[in-house]
Amino acid sequence: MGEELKRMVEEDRRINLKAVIRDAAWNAEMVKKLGAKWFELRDRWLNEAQERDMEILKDPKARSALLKALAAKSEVERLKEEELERRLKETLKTAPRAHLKPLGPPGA
Amino acid sequence: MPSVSGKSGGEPGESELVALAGNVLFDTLGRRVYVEKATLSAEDTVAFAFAGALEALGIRYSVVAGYVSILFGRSRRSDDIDFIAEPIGEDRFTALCAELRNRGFSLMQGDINLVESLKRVYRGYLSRGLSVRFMYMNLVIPNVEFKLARNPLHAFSIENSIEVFLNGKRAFRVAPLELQIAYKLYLGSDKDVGDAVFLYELFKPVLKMEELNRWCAVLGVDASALKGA
Repeated sequence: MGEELKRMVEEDRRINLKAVIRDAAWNAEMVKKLGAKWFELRDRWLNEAQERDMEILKDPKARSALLKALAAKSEVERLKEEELERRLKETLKTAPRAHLKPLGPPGA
Repeated sequence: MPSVSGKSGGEPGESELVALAGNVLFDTLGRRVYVEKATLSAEDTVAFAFAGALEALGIRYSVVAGYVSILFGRSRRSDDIDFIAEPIGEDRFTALCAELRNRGFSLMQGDINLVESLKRVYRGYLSRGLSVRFMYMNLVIPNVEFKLARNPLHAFSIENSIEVFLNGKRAFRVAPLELQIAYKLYLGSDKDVGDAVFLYELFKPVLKMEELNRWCAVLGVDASALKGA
């Protein structure tokens, strides 16, 4: 049962990812085809959503919940980056790459 | 916006413009992108204002992550606009906060008006590799997530950032697209893979494929999602 469930979840994930990829490719096509018109439609939608958010966030409870969620999100991102840094260190040990070096002085 | 037909011949050292869309041009020599749009989104406005403060103080930076896709037309929103800046000390951070305050920003983790508070925030967050968040005109979203470069990927993003011109004005610098795409694949959520595919499909004519493959190898990611698009 456990294996069957795992297989079903993986299948769902695969189908979902396929849809996400198709949607992203379609989105890029729209930018290429419609150009400024696409941005106009998209920005109208973005700005309407922004106005709705601002209404919701007038409620102090919603605002406080969002601030907590943002703090949690930062923490998750930090952990992902730490994992990447560990992996990067290992990769560079075995195959150092010249283009990966510390930041040079300003204006360099 | 510069015209494609006028410059695409490309004398050495001149710009070589490629039209990715009617309103998006990429200068392959200068590594610049020109975007023309009728209105600015809240994300654009916040990014523009924050970058202005960094540039006023000569602090090098790069915009990374989700906003890069949104800037170029991805139809989604983001809670935050991620800025990575070159390492700066406590005093420069305090000066940056004064500049940001004058431009309408406040700080989520401390009081932007109090130097002592800013020093505490610097020591408690930035110097430990953690990010801090700035709000523009009290907007909780989108906010700016700001951190200092601490690894070679951050450094590369800043050193090799590309310039974005929005409606003819120099707006801000974003991380190189090849690294952005590979990094999004590394993060691996549906949203991130979608962003990677979107950037890949839009910028395919101007991407340095060797560079993209190299980053995929460095980050150990499978680029098959890009080919599947």
